[in-house]
Amino acid sequence: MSAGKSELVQHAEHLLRVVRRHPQVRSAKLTVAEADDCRVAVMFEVEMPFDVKARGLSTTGVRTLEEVEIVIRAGYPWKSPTIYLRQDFPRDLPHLQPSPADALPRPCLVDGSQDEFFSHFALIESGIIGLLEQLASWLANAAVDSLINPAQGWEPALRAGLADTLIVDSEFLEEKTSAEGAWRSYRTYYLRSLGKTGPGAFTFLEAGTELASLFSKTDMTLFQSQRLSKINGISGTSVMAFITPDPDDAGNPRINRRYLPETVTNLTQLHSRAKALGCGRHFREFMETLVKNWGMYQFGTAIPIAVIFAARRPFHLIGSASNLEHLPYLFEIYPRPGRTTLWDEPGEDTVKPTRLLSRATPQLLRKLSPVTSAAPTAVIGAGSVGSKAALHLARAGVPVTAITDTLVLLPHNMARHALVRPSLGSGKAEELATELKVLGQTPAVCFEDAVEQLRSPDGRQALAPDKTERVLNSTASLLVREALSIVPKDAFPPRISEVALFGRGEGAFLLQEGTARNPTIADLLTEMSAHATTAERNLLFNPEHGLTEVQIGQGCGSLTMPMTDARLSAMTAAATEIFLGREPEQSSGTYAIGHRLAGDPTTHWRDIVVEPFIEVPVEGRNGWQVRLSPSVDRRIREEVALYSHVETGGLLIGTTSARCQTITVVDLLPAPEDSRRTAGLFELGTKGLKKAIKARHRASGGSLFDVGTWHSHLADMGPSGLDRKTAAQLTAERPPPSVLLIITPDRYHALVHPVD
Amino acid sequence: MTASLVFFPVANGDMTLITLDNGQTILIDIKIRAAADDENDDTYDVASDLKDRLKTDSEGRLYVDSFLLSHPDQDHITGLENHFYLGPPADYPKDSCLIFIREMWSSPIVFRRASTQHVLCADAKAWAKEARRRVQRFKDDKFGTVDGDRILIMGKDKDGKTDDITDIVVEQGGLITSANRGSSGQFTGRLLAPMLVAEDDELVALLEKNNSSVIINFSLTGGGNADKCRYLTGGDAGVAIWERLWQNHKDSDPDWFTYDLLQAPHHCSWRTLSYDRWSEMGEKVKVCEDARSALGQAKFGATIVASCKPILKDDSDPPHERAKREYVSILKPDAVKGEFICTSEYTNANDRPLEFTVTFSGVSKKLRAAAAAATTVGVSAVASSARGHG
Repeated sequence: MSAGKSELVQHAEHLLRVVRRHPQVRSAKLTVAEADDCRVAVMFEVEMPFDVKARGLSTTGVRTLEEVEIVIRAGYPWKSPTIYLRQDFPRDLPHLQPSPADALPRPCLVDGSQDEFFSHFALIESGIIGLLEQLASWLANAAVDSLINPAQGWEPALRAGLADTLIVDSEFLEEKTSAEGAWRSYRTYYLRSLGKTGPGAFTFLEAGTELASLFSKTDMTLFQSQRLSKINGISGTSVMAFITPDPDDAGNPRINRRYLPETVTNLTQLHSRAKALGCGRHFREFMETLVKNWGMYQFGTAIPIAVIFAARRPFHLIGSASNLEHLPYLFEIYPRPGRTTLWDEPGEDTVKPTRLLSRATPQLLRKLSPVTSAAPTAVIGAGSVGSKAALHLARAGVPVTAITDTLVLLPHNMARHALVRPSLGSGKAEELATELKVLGQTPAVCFEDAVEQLRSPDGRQALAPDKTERVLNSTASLLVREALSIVPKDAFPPRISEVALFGRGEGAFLLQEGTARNPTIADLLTEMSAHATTAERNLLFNPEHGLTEVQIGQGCGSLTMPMTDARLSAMTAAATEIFLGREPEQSSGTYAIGHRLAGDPTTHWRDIVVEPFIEVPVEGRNGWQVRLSPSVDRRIREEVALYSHVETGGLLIGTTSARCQTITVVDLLPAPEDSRRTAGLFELGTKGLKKAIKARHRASGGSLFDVGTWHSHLADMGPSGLDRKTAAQLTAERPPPSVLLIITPDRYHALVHPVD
Repeated sequence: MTASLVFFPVANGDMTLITLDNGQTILIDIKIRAAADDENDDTYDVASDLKDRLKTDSEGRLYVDSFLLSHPDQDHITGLENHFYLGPPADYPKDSCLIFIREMWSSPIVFRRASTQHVLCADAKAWAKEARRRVQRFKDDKFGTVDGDRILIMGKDKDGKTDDITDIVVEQGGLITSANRGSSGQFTGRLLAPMLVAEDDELVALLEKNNSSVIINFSLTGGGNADKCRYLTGGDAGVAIWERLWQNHKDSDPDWFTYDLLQAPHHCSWRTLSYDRWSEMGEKVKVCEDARSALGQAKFGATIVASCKPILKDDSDPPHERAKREYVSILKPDAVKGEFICTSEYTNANDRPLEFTVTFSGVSKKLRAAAAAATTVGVSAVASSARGHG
């Protein structure tokens, strides 16, 4: 390291050494070695198709050997080197950074920030080589004109690196694009930083969808502004002109086939750019109207004006079905007192191309978060789980059609609710709906109790307005779950899912009913309880983990489990992700259950498909039915096949709901060894049975018990006299109904002794 | 999928992978030496590289759609048994990393008995056995044969040995239009040799000697557009073959010889271009003009690839420096302005195989993947020679 050399020059010499190692670098030398600016001139070999290479020059004007300049300035190597092309490099190629015609053209080498790209390599040397690789590929593409490739789509002009930003609703503008030419101005909000005029000064504009009449004397709010002392800025309202081109000479919508380099820097150039795009007439009209309107007004500060030219391209834009490219520009007017024009001083007619961003509409969000099912969803329950799930849905662009919750936000909700609110007291549903509006959503809000609402057509409409295809219940309420399980499909068509946490957020589950509401979410929860693994059972049913009531049927959204917001978010996010990933074509029911492994953030999920339950009407209890899980049905049939010449049977394990009028069977206990099987009779023994039932009950956290017995008939005959007698005995012995389930070669029969 | 050609660095030997526009693969010859498989040896690991480029089928098998063996010499078939699965598809071992050959393209020489003229190495015998099995499968099942049972025979054999299987025989001058009965339109391959030589041909002895090499001029589709790259490849075919081919076809079908890419036959051997012996005549040797014409139909910007060791100015052959000079002279005129590349030299300089991509714009040298940049930076440079540490 020689003394006296500036640090930057030493860096430049190192850069030169690395650059020379690149296989496509034919020669390189240091041409400028200043303390704040070093330049390396490189002859770079461009890979081209054989015939193009032999010719030495591509049809697009790229040479086999290209002169390239690599510049490093103060800040290197914390900042990327900049790579420039020769002054006469063809500029009618996309992927060139916007720049005035007299500046060296600069290729856009990476998608995103070049500084970040450069610094993501641990080795500076790798960063340098990485940039050269990007350059090699950029030049190779430029040589064969594949920067604009019809199959891939039209590459919109590059704007990512620009200082000023215009935010629009792209879909809205698309709708407003007529085949006839036109200009329209829309009310636009802006935020400008002041003070510095060089780098650091910026303008943010957000164009609304509300037309702004430049003639209007009544709209006193337009062109108003206020100082923002904190950021040394100014905010206010202005206009954005949206200009679509006149038809072409043949009267057809004008197609702009030519890529025009982004070199506009002043109003004169903007006028000629408008003309080149077929927007000349309407842009002139807009400007004349603007000047006329300001004829008698004056204003202390400059006002930014945005303009978008719509260019119809010969094929669709990359990543879009549309062929409309929006070309946005920004300039300012200076309506100072005593002026002759709006741009009296030199430089005031400056025009800057701006970045163009789309507002956060559901359409945009869907592009950013691809999900399997973006079907419109109503959310029931806006507590901590529901609020987070709803935000996940909205951020993925899933339309949230309604939010239902009866409660208001209270201080303790701040521990885990998705919303942070200084002033508490408004409804959770209302607050969540307000939040979602920023994401382009307009959910209906319902403060009523979901169970009540499900009883009336208007209530059901409030819970899930038309177009709702899915319902996500996050209330963790047994009542809501049961009400959602018995509401008839034709009265309430959306597909119903439920998300809930258990075991202090160590576990979570997501249920989704089958089509035709079978299995129901209540069936699924019972089935899940019956087949939980030991680890899951410990969390689901262990009283120490709190809120075991959720599973055994007294829980409601008001009970909360102590856990961190991070834990709740982690489990809710995973469950919501599963919800978003469900295939709409999946007709069976499903449950996914996950839990954290002990002492570890790893979460283990099981995803189980459950076929429809078998529904058997109950004789003796009008409206009641037995719901048999498919696995129980299979096991019964297997055992019957085993005892083909005698009657056999066993004990039914499940749960009973008087509200739903269902006896749900999800497990069996085998007949004790002292049972008797003959051709005309099955007698259920008792040896060890009580113990087995109690063990099963305990293992299920008290959620499952003996709901009755089953036995087979060899012929297709319903309940016998003996069966009826046994049914009567069972009913006499305990208040919850006990069912006698009989399987014959043809069907199931279910019998409960009628209550007097 | 971008169509591409990869020339693996195997010193003197051939190993080329063509990937078609639709993603199907055609492998031409292999030479996977023990040193390349040895992780303690710096010989380029061609087997791993090849496997990284191949796709896996629904049963978890790495596969090539078609595998052309130009002729059963050691430097074109080494490594077959170590790296490829041979036998009935149903018996493919579970969790094997052997490459599954969906369709073989073989010279009819597999039907001939080994003789002093025709000595086969173990890998070549294995190929011949598998080829015979597949021919039998065809006789049994005709077009009912499945992946792993299919075979195409490149050229009729003499004495009518292939007469009962004409449906899987490509005749000399005929066109191959699909790989493993996949979609057509991805390429055509004009089969130029082996030639069927009449018994009374005065040149029979001379021609027979090296006549078993398959010569195909491929025309590859790039980005959906046909004929974006012509690739002429001819194994070890010698001067007499090229001379005869040109004489037979120069008037009717000179276009059969034009190429964007030529694989210099027999690893850039002098014996491809001349009957004269360098060892006897030195610089007085004469080029056989007809053979040179057959190999000289270079298109504008064409590249000639010599799949061989670095080419030195010495007496060894192949590769031969005089042959390289002749190829360079083919590429020199303004009507061509092409490039000559030796695979070993290329890989020594670039640490990756020579590779070309075929797009709608034509054929060009493939830009390296970003991962290769590590070498340029100097990663592993410490290991490039022994370093003293006092």
